[in-house]
Amino acid sequence: MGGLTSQFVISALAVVTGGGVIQGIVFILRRRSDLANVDANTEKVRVEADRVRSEIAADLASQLADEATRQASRNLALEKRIDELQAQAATDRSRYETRIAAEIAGATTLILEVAALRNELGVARRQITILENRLNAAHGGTN
Amino acid sequence: MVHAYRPEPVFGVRDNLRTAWDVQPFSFTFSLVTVPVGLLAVLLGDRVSRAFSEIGEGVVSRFLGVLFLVGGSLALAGIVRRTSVFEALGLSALSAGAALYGTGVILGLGMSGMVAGPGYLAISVALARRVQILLALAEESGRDAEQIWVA
Repeated sequence: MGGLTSQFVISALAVVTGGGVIQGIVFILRRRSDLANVDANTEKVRVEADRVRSEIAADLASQLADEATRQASRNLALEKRIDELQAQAATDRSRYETRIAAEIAGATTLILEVAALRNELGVARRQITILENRLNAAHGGTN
Repeated sequence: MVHAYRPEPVFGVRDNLRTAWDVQPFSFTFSLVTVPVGLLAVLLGDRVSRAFSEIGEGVVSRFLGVLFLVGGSLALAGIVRRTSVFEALGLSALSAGAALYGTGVILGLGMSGMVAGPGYLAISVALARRVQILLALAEESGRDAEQIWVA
């Protein structure tokens, strides 16, 4: 586009734009009270949102504190129960160990007694054999 | 006339800046940038842009600078202070300025301006849409004061 044409077009556009801006300013200024109302509403909503946000934060903090207290109490109860169970387990273990030791001791005594009886039985069997031999020898002598 | 209820301001400038950056990053950044750019355009005229140098239109360039400077300042104030009137006025001026600049770039640079020109026209449309939304909310708010309309 030629220089003069461009100059004319941009000047004409500037004039039109200037007129449009002035009309726009008048139009906007006529609606300034409504626009102020929108601002006031926006501010009210912001204030309300801020209040709700604060309330939610406080509520959340309170709930968290309650939950923390509840958890601490529960942990304490659990620790106490664990201690009780550990003590019970230690007592049971000690009792069973004593009982097992007594059973082992009893069994050992029985084994020794059985061994002694076997020895006595062996001795008795040998004596019977000797006596049988003597008896046979005596019978043989009389025959 | 609607008597607007104004609650006590509980949010400071820092809160508003943060909200502006979080909620309207594009408008906030664009307004921030256009203030010094507009000032340069006012001071330097068509020397601030090669497109406008090619066209040779210092007056339009300065007018564009005024739109950017005033529009950017008003929009920035409106966004940060959460005042829709300032925001709508500022964004209107910025939208007009962006449209003017986009057209100027296409006219002045031809095919070389086919990235920046349509880009600025798109920015102009986006800013105009924001103004339209604000005005629609204001209209709804004026029609039904019991309802809550949020920008």
